[in-house]
Amino acid sequence: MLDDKIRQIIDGCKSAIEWAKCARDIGEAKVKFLGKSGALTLLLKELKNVPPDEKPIVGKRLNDVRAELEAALERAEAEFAKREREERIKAETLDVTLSKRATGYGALHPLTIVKNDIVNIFIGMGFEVKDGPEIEHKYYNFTALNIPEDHPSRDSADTFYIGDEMLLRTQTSAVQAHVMEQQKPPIRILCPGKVYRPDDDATHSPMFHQIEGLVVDEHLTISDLMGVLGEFAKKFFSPETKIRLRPSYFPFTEPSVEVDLSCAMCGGKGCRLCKGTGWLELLGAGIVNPAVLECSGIDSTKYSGFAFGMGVERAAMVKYGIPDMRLLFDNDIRYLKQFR
Amino acid sequence: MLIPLKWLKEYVDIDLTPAELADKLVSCGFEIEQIIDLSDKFSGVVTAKVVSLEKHPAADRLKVAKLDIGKSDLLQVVTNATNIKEGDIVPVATDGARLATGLNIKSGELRGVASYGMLCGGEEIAADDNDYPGASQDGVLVFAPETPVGADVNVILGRDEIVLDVGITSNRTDANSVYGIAREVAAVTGKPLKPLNLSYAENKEDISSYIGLDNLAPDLCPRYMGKVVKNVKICPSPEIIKQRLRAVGLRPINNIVDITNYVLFEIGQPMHAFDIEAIEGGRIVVRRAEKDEKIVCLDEKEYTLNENNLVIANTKRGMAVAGIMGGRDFSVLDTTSTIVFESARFARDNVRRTSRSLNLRSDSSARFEKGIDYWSQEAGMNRALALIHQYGWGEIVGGVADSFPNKPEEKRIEFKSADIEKILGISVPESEILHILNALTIQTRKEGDKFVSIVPPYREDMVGVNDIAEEVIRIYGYSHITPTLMKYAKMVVGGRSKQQETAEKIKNILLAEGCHETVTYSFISPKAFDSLCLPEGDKLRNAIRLDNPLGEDFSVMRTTMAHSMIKTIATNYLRGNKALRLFEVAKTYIPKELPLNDYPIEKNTLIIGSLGDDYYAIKSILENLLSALRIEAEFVRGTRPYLHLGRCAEISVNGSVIGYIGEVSDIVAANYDIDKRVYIAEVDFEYLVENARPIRQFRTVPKFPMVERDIAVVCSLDTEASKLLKIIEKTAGTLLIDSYVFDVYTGGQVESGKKSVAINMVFQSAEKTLKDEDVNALIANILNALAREADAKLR
Repeated sequence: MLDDKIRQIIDGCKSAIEWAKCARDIGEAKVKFLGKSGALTLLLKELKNVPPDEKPIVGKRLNDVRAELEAALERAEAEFAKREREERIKAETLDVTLSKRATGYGALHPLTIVKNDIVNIFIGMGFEVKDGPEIEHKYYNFTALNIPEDHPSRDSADTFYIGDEMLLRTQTSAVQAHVMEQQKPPIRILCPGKVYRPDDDATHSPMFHQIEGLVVDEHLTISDLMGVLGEFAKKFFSPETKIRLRPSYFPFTEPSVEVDLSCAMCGGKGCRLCKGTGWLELLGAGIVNPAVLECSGIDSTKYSGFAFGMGVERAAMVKYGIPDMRLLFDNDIRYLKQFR
Repeated sequence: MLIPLKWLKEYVDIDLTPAELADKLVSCGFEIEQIIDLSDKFSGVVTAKVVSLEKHPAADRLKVAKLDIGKSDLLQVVTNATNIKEGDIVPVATDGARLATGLNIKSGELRGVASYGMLCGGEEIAADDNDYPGASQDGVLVFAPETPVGADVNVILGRDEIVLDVGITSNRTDANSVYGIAREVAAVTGKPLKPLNLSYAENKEDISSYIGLDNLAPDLCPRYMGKVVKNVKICPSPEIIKQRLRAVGLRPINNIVDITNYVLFEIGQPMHAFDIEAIEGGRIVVRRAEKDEKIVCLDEKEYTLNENNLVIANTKRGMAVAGIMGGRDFSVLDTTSTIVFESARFARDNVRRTSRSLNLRSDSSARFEKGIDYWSQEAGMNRALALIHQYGWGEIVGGVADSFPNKPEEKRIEFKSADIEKILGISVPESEILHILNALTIQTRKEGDKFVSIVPPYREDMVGVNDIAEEVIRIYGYSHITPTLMKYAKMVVGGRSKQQETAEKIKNILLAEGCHETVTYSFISPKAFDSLCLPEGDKLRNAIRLDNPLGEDFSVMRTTMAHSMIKTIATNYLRGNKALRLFEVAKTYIPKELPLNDYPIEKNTLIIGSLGDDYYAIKSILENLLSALRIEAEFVRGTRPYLHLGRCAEISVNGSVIGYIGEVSDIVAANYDIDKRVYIAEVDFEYLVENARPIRQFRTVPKFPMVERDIAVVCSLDTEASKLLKIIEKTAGTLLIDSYVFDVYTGGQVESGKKSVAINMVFQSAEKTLKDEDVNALIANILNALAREADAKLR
């Protein structure tokens, strides 16, 4: 009688598992047979009616059956869970080659990239960065830089004037005198910034960017200038880059030199970029004219200095192969995106 | 500066190729712009004598010429020339010749007769009457009968010449001449510099019986020299002078004019010649022009002068605009018999300003603008007179009319070799120093342990030991410098300041937001203020104007970045770029007063612009930026003349406005030809950089759980979210750790004129676990406050 009931429960449960279509059917079977008022639970309750000497045997029997059914149901449940998850994952499959139209990462302007590259190299050599006014007094742009009253660069064909005394600075060298008036040696500064001259063609823009460097200390020489700029050239282009000094003239340095870098494109063999010379003209430099130091109240018998200046546009054009300076101010997003 | 090599070789021997010479000049400070071969306009053309000229058997208009070109065989050429005869000497382009017209000559047949070349006219050999008499006429050029046969026509025309185009730095005015460059070549190649021929004979007369001189403007004319030549024979110059002038691009005129040009290029001194008949009153007067004084110059144009212009006058009227151009009525004519040569120095800035204001330029004014040294007046005058003497073109009258009120003193520079080493960082042997300076004609000798240099009068650029060091190293060679890394300099700590680092950080944040950096011109068109719809009197219209802009579009310094950004977006949109996020950091220029007498306020300003986004996208960029800088800002409704009235907020920190954000108004957008919505935000970049706060002290996160609640309230449509959030924050106090609006709804279930605002709030205590009752009480207070202060009721 009991055996029959047990057999019925076992058969009933196993058939429920067999016929189950999803995890929920298993859950229902679980409740039906093993739940609080499930068939097996009810049978267990009837244990109290069993004679005491049979109780342990019947009890064990019932518990074994319960364990067996529980295990069977769990196996079935796990099997269904696995199958259903597989189906869900299959249903959730994406076309992983599709993309969202994202804004994407922005880009610094090439002039900023090149400026940062240059500034970082000199910061590594102990330079600090200084700023100065773009609308400048005639004094700081010319007089304090030893540029004579009758020098052609003061002419309105070469300088944008605002009245008789003020102008748009034509060179970042104008920051030199400001710094030297405020700071005593040792001075080791870099002044990046906008400068202005009335030119407009493929290689000139009325607004462009320069970086001026100035070092004032005791015992500074042309050899030091060459060493510092040589290190710069190696870091900016490649360790193979060489520099060459050529005599030149700037009113605020004496001696003055042009600094040529061996061509980044051909390595000095001669190509279109360097016009076959193997050299790129990139910097003007020199020993600070003692008159400039004295003008800012620095004792030129004790201190000396060297200064250098370079055009950021020119450096960017060389570095990225930009053919026309005006493209740097075009601001077409299709140009700007290239520098991401 | 054009330097013909044959002319140069008159003063210094050169055994280098033109390219080697160019390298030498570059190494000592003279850039070579170009090496010009005057013979490369054509090749393969030789002189030929017409031996026979017969009719072509098959063509009436052709002839068959047999030519002697100095070889054993005659050359047969078929020609259509009508102006030649047997015995003429003509240019013939032989097989393989290249002509100035671009034609390449090959042997061939013309109507059955073999032709081995082509007879040339002036055009084929790039010659006109100026180069050879008769070359401008149609037909074949016929040379003079004495012309050698079989010679290269380039040689006959004086075109077998190489010309160096030398760049001269503005300090080396002395090198703006053949002789000046010869001096440099001598020093850099170690060859001796040959002297100029400056000798001539004078008659027994004195100039004072011909003319007098009054220099009334010594500040503008520090030196004036006049010499008289009588019995002048006006004639063409000899071929050597003509060829040299042509080589530097000048037209030979007559011997007197040619001499002044010749001296200009050889010595660098501009000269002028007056017909003495024209010097009324017998005196040369150097004076400032009178106001509205008129003069007709050699170019047949009348010029109106003023007190800022210098004239060379007689006692009645001006005869020349000093240093620029002579007057038409005073020049040397073919009939002139007595001339006055002028050799003067004029102030270069005055010549430049006069030349600019009159829009009148000449070779002479170009030279004066560069500056003329004090040596050249005498050297130039003497060289001109030596040429007169050499060619027997006139009788030189004794004495000189000379005004030289402030003769410069002889400059001496004393130095030790250690001074040079201190500048260069290498030691140059003393013997080298002596040798180099003397080779550069800077007379230098050793006195004890010192060097003493006497600076020649033409080296006005030299003032001190730095100049000496430069002279030494540019000849000794920069290749001798050994690089060092500031071995005696003090250690210094460089790097970026806090503000500079923040500036970098701001840019990086904007990059991550997908913004691209632009760079635009600082000057804009004043019309921009109209495009931005700024009302009359708006303070942004108070812009600094350039005196000499490159055009109206680049004439005022921007007071706002808005125009530049909208214009950049417009340019992109016009080209079909429809989705953009851009930013720029640049200065705006706000004058303290106009006209400008002192520094204006230059303020670094950040502008962000976008096309294809909405207001909230741009606002979130700003919010992310501000939160990264730990600046607590509020967005308060505001207006700007160029922004959408309902879509503009000011960015306010502690009550002060640091910028704005908004949609560009439809009218302004239309002014820039944009028919889409454009958003911009402009922020005081310097405020951001100065006020960015560092990371605060570390705080541990409370371990008690957070409780989240959402409410939805209905309020008037014009009640701003920020008002509701402020009420919530104020009421909830410190237990509220976050709140934000996650939905705004208008429509169906909300009465018209109202909106439903859904707000998420997070509560947390640092001391205990919040119970439902605690939070419920807070929510009740919040709802009461919202109802009372914002008429916002729980939905």
